[in-house]
Amino acid sequence: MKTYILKTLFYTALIIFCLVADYANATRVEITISKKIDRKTRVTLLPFFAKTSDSTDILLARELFSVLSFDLRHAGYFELWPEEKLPESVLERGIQYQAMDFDFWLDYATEIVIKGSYNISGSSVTIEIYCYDMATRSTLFARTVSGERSELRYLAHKISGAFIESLSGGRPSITTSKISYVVRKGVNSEIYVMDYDGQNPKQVTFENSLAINPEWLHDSSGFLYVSYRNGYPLLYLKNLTSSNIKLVSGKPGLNVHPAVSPDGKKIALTMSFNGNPEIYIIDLNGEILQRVTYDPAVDSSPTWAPDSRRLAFVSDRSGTPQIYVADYLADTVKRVTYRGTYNTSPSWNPIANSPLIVYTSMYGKNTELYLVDINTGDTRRLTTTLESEEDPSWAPDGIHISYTLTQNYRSFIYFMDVRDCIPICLTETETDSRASSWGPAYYK
Amino acid sequence: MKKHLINIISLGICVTLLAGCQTQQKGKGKSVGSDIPLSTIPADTFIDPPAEYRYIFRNILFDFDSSAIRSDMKQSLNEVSSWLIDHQGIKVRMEGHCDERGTEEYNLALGERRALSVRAYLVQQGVSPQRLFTVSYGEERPANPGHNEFAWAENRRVEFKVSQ
Repeated sequence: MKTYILKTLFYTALIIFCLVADYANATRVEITISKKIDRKTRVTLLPFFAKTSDSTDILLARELFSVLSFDLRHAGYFELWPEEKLPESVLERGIQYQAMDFDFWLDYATEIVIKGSYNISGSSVTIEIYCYDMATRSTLFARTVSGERSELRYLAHKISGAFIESLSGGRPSITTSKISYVVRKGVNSEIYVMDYDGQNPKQVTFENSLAINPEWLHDSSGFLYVSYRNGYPLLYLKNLTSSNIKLVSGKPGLNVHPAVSPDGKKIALTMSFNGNPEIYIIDLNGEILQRVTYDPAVDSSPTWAPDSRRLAFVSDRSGTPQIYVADYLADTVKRVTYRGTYNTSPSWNPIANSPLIVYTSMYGKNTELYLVDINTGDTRRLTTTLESEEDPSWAPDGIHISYTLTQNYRSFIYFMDVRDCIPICLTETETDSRASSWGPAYYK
Repeated sequence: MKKHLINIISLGICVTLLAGCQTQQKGKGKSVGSDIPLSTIPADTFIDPPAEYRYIFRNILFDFDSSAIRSDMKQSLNEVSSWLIDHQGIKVRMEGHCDERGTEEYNLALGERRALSVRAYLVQQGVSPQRLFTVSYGEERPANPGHNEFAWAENRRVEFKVSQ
């Protein structure tokens, strides 16, 4: 009897603890193989107002509002609320940004209200946001950032990123991250870099040749890429601050598919100087540290596990290209995909201990994106059959992927949240863009 | 009955021994026997074969997702190898290509594999590997811009370029 009471007490305590813990991490998400739509927190974003009425700049205020709306909508934790547009009289309430009228907002069933201001002085601008929590009737988050007016979008991304990270349970925000990708130029191609929302696309290589396979360094100081500028696919490093280009690997044959390890010290890549495409690990100066595969089949497209100990790669050792995982220190190889006869271009979720790999599978005439859980072997399709999708790359938050979508023989870069799988187009219709690589969370 | 048991045990031992051999072969530091390492990248420029030799250097075609030399391509490769044996000063660059299907990433490796298959075949016919170089273009440079079976069949190829 006594034990029964104790047990009941224990479980009650446990349930209460779980409830409390759950509340504290209201926006913590877990990305798993199963398709689930997490309930999203309702956020009301009010227009930004000038701190002093004589410095009002409608265009600037609109741009701030549009950047924050995009960031919040696509963070994976929030939905903008209410769905319909608020009347002008309600929007005006943003003027009182340092005070909160909790009672007024009760009618709107919103959970967080965000108010903001800006102040322009000369060429610099200061942005402030105040985030109010309806449940606790308190200020949830407040932040001020300032900088050059020319980098307004970056400042807005920075402030929304700080807010998102205050609620994301340790996951990095992607709002200041960049995506590198390949743009076709006749028979050649060049590498471009854009913000994660598709804005500010910039050409960053001028090879007059084929430039492919961009891969970011972890400090975002530059990226690796493959160029045929000397007639062969060699691996180069482009420094974005100095614009210097350095040859990293110039072995005969392939020097392609670079993948920087999560600890930032090593590069896995496909090389064929030995007479067959194999996976190697080199340091940032191109010195070979280790050979990973020893198989007469094609071994290619390495991607690192978050622990920097394991690699996933593609091999056709079974007769068709499939995804394998190698613990290269323990010298073990395990096949992870069994469905279909063409599974390629894997990318391993960057969040610690994640068993999820996103990859491309041929499905009839088209290619589609799939997730696989390497522990269970379960898979889930992320894309529909209407177009061809390929070459996925995880965002640093482990929630989003960028990928190439090809329709009518033209390619575009898209991204999606792997939970709801809604495709968002990032590149314009005039450019033929592909092979994206999502950069680190903190872009300087 | 007892004899049967002994048979099973000895069979078991044999299997274990064989398995042991196999894992040893795949172990670290052992290279796979058939691979012929590539020579360093030459400074030579490679051009399309001159018109009078173009009938020898025809494109070598492949099946989908395969780098195996097709039996109908062997005649053509034999002509290339005997020409190369007669013209010792010439270096050859083999350019591997794929059709637009499949992923760009994998096609880059597959194109190299196709060029390496042709190289291995020519080496087997007696051409020195020091004269043979490979490059893969994946699906970047189709010979036929079409999007149908005929175009794809033409695009799954190895092209020959010769040193000046």
